[in-house]
Amino acid sequence: MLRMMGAVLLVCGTGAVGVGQALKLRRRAETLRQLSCAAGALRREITLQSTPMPQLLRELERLSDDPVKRLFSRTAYLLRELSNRSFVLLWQQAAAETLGGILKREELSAVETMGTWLGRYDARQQEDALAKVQTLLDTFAQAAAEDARREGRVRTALGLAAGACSAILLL
Amino acid sequence: MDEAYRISRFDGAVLLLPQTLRCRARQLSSKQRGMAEEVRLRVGQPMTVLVGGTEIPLGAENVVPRDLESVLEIGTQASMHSVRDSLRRGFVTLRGGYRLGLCGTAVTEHGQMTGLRCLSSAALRISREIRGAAESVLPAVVRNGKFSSTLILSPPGMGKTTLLRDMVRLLSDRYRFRVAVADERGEIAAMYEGRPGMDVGRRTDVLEGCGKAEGTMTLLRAMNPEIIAMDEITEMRDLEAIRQASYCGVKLLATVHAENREGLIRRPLYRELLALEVFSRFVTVENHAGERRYTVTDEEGALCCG
Repeated sequence: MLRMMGAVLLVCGTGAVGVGQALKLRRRAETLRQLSCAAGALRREITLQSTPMPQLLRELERLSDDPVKRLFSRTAYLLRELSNRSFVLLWQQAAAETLGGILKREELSAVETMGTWLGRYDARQQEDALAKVQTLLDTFAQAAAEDARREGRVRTALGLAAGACSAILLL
Repeated sequence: MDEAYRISRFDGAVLLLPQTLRCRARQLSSKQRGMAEEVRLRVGQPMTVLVGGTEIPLGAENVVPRDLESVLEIGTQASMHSVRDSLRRGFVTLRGGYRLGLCGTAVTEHGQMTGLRCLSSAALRISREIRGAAESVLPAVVRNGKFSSTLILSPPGMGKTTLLRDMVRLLSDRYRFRVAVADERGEIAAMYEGRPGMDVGRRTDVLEGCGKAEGTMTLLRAMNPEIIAMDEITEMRDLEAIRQASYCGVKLLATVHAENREGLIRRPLYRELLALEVFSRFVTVENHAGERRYTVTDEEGALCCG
């Protein structure tokens, strides 16, 4: 009986690791999708309303879900350091802190690129740059969604299979 | 004026500078900080502070282009897109009501200046509120509870806007007029997140960032004012708005760049302004040994006493 319980726990444990991995992939895809939407919202607000950055960050914080929400709230918080460090550095810090563990290096790099344009140029130039970043984020989001769909199942199955194999060997 | 307040305004302006320049600006004595009128940055030259008409250099290190960009970034809170229209005219009003004048290479489109690139110099003007500045003027422009449309005449840097702001405050708080301010450059009320940074009175409505002509018409339609105040009449369109407002029975309070009535008459735009016969009181600002003196006259040039 004890052996059986141990085997079940083993399968459940490794299965949970697999499911966790799959969820992580889905979260990455969802984050990229949200970031793309946020880039679109930034474009609209900057070109149509000329919304100042502090207000813009608060607005996007309100409209987004975690972890993108945290990206905007952290940047808004860091704005108080603007007199010591440039906006691009503050944005990059916020992006690394909030998205670093979720996105791949090149995806994070695309988000960081936004900081080099945001608030520094006139609306039209920012719009062009944001449009390019948005396209890039869309591409990443599609690839991440495909990864999540394909690899998610594989990782869940691998987790369960690893648990089952270990249980058989141990039994 | 309260010395602590004067120094705090300077310190507020210094917060808009990048860290290296900020440290240098803080080396000034308290007296100099209280008297400072402008901070000037010129690429390739040390930063200077204008104190009593004299530019005092601060430190030996030269200003670099990045410093000017940083001032803009700090002052606009990384929102260059929000100040584009203002930048087109060569200045930006920053948080706290400080005005940053800029020079560089003009970017033009169809012959119109659309912006600036390669910034070369900047002048950060330290505006200060002087409560009570208009005390001596108001009895001459408000008689039996009625306000006479008033034009303030003064050369640049003599405190026109300061006087205008205090007149608006007193007309609103003490004389209980509904005052509307067409604050094109944001220097009168220094609005920040919907609240005035300067005291303009409890019965004052402020429309900021809009041209004076459009602003005046909007205020007429939207706010039912008794008095409309505006700073620096510079365009023919402003005159048309003033005419329209006066037809509606609204009184005007405005400023112009001119030394006196004679200086006003010499300029075609202001000749037309006088021809409108809207203004019946003229306040001239003069500097006597560092002290501002105000003289109020009527249409005929006769002195008006309170």
